[in-house]
Amino acid sequence: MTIQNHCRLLTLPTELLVVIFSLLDSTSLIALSTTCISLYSFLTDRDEIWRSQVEHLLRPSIPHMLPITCEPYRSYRELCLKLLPFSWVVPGIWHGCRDHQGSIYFSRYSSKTGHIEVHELFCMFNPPNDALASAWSQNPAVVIQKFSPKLDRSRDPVLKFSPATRYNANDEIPMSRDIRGKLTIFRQAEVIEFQGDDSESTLALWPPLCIPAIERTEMAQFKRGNSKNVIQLRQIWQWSMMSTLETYETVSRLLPDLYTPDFERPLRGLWVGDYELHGGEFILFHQPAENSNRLEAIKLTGDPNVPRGESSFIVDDLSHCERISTETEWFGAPVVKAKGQIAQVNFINHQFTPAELIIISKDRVALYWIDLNQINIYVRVQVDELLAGEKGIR
Amino acid sequence: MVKLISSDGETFSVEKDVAERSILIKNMIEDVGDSSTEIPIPNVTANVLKKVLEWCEHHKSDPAPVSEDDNDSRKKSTDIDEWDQKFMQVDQEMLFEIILAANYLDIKALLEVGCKTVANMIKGKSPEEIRRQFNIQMDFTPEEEAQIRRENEWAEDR
Repeated sequence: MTIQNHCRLLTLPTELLVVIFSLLDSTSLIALSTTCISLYSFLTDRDEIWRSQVEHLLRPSIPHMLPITCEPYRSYRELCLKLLPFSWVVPGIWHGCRDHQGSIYFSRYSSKTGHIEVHELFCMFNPPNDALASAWSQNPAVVIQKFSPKLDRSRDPVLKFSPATRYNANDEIPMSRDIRGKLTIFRQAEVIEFQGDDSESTLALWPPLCIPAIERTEMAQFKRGNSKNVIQLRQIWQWSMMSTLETYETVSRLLPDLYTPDFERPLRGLWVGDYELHGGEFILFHQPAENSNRLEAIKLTGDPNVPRGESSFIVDDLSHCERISTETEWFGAPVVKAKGQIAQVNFINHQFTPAELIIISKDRVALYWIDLNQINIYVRVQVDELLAGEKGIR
Repeated sequence: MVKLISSDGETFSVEKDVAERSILIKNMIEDVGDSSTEIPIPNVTANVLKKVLEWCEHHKSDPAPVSEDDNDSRKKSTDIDEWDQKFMQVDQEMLFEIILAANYLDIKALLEVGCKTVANMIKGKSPEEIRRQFNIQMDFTPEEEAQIRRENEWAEDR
């Protein structure tokens, strides 16, 4: 390194400079590398500094057994420079307000394409297996519905951020048309400041207030903003010159804390539950920070009866065990009192009905709808595995 | 008590556990087997050594650092406790001398505080602000500058 500058920083031994620069974030590193020739070549020549940046950013998107490589880029530095503007998108779980059914997405870095991708996530039934039901050994009048769901993702990413991705003059990013001719336009949403819980105005917020979030927006407003937690998708289907259909969807990031179980809140997480004819639905098992004994099962995707954003069932006190199962299906599993929500189409006459939650394991529970004489299974989505590109359900 | 002699010949008498914050000195005392001998510190001048010993004195009863944990979030953090922040409010020349001395004397915790202090002087600043901070001459030719701008245009966008 040639030192024409009278700069004390550059006289530090190389190994110390590497330590110091490894403490920086990518934006500061880039700024530093554009100050002078010496620092530019120092940082360009030492890809290990950039590697630690990339490691931080991409580790959750790469299966744990696999090493992280910079391919298809030439260096970690190039990867960093190219993807930095959209690095906030990964990795994560996102949920949208589409119709009343809602939608679920996940974002990850794909080391195959070198792009940041957002896929929609679907819960698939596994017929004919799941058409099967069996009588409960404890009470043969009660039906246990078999449920072995699989997760599937949209074939093509809904959103794809590559080094060539640019915002247009309207601060939007049109994605390339998918095979069915659908055009998706992405933008960051405008964050809404709201006071109190004036129910008129809070009804229109996304994410809904029952889901803790750091930023919310107004669903009906399709305004550009700079939120990195709430985004909006405008989708345009064009069948012919004359006939188009345009839909809007607001999508928000689910805070990782909400689906990460801890010692006091072992059931916290993203789950899929069996809603029979409606199919598998994505449910957030929310154990509030302030009351770890409470469990609110909030629908992230819903159905015409009980839509997204509403509670599917609630357990007021997980610590109060009603009984320990003696039946063969889940011998030894603790059972707690719950209430399940039912409604007619369009959420009319919604009401809670008595239920019991059978905690089979930390990854599997069963809900006994007492008045309906039926038991439905819920299975945890392994978010870490899903984000790393694996199946996501064990 | 241990006697340390700076590169410019000044003698410092310090308690053994203060001096032994430095792994280099600790090993030397063990090698000599006699803590009453004078130990020369040829790479560190008196004003820097005085400052370093002040830090060692304040941290003499700190628990031994936990064996290398590779916790990523800890490694990336540049939080510094209040006393150390005040301690590091010195001119840049002294800051770099302290870092070099901590490196030479093998005082890991002090080296860490020093490196974090420098990192915090860079963090969140524009290239121009960094140049001013460290007295760096901008020495790109106009062509080089244009090329770097192209390379980074993307990253500076937002």
